[in-house]
Amino acid sequence: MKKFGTLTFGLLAALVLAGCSGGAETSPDPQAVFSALEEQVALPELVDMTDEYLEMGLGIDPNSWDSAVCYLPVDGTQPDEIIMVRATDSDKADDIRSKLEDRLGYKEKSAQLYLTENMPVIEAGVVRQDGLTVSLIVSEQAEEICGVLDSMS
Amino acid sequence: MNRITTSLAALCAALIFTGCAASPAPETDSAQSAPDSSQTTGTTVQQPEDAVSSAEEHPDQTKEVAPAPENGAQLPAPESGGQTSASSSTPTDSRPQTAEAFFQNTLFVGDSIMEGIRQYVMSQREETSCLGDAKFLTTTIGISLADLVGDRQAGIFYSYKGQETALEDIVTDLCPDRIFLLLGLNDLSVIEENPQVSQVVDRYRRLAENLTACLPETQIVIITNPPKIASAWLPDYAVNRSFSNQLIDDFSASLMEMCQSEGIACIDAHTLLQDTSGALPEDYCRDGYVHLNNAGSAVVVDALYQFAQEQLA
Repeated sequence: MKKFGTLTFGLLAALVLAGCSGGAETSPDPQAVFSALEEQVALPELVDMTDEYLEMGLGIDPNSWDSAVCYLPVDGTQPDEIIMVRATDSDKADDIRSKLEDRLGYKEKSAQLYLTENMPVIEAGVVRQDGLTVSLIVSEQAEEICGVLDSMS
Repeated sequence: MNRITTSLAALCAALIFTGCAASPAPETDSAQSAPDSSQTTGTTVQQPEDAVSSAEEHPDQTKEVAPAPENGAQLPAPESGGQTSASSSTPTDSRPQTAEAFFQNTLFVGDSIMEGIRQYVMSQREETSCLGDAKFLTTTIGISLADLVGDRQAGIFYSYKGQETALEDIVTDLCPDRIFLLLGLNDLSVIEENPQVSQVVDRYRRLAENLTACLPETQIVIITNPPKIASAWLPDYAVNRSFSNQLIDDFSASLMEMCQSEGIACIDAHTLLQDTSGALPEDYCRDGYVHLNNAGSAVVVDALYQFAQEQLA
C-alpha cells in the first residue's frame, strides 16, 4: 500500500509538471510586466515612447502586436531601452525579434563611435523571447528586469 | 484498493486541472483575449497616451491653456532660469496652445543634442501637448553634417523604421511641412582634429539645398547649437582636442550669416543658452560637456514656440 502510494504521488507530480511546463509557452503582457518592473526594480526616469518610436524608429508594424511598451530614458544620452512587444503570431514575433536584434546592433555600433562610456551597458543588453513576447532590455538593471520577466513567463 | 485508486486518480486529475488552469492561456489564445487597453494601444498609433493608466491620469482634455506671451516676451535667462529639478520641465507661459498647430507634420532632425530635446518633449507629452505632433529623427551615433552630405563615408545613417536610411529618403517618405535641423557639433568635435568652420557651414548649406530639392514646399529651419560648459574637459571620443566655445561661437555666427544670405529661417538657441561668460550654464547641462538636460531643452522649446508665434503673426 505504501509502495502504491509513493508510485501514485510520483505519477501525480510528473503529470502536474508535464501539464504546466510541457504546454504552450506563456506570452506575458508587456504592460503588466512593466508595471511589475516599476514596483520591483529601481529604474532610471523613463519616458513612454511606444507611439513615437516603435513604428518610426524600429519599423514594427502596429498591426503586428496587441500589447507593447517602449521606454527610453529622459536623459537622451543614456543607453537604456526597455522595449517589450507581444506579437499576434509567431511569424510576427520572429520579425519583431529580428528588428530588436538590429536595434541592439545599431546601439553597439553607436557606442563604438560616440558616447563610448555607454558600451558596457549596451554590451550587456539582451533580446529575449517569452512565447510571443519579444523584449529588448538595455539597462544597468538588465538582470533584475530579466528576473521579473522570468517570474511572469 | 479500488476505492483508493479511484480517489487518487480523481485527486490527480483535479490537481492537474488546477495547475494548468492557473497558468496563462496558450499564446494563440492570449493574443486574441488581450485586454482592451492593449488592443487600444496597438491600434491608436497617433495617440500619445497609451501607457497603463496614464490616459486616465493625464487626459488631454484637462490640460490648461497657457496664456499667449506678449510680443517680445523674454525667454528665461540662463542666470535666472537654471532650473535643475523635475519641475524645470513645466511648460512656460511662452507656449501658447495656438502655436501647437504650427508644429503639426513637422520633423526635427538632429544629433544627440536633439535627442535630449526629444526626450524632454516626450516627457512633456505625458502631461500636456508639446510641439503638436512633431516627430523626431535623432541618434546618439555621433552623426555629422559630413555624413549627411557625403563628405564622410563612415557608414553612419539614421535608423528609420528599423533600417539605416539616407536622410533624403526619410524626409521624402515623411513629407513634413517643416524640418528643423540641429546639427554640426560633431563636425566640429568628433570627426576631425582641425575642422574648418566655413567647411561645416557649407555642409549645412548643402544639406538644406538637398532637402529642398527633395521637398520644395517644405520650410527648412536651422537651430544654432548650444555652447559647451566652461570646463575645458572633453570626452575621449572628441577627436578635436581644441574643441571650445570660441569655435562654437564662430560656427554659430557664420551659420546665421549663411542662413540670412540663403534665406533660411534660423533660431538662435546658441545665444539663449549662453551665460554671461558665453558658456552653457551647468544647470542646463546633463553630462558636464554640451548635452542639454530638461532645463536646457526647455529653453530651446520655448524658443521654438516664440518662432512659431512670429511665423503666425
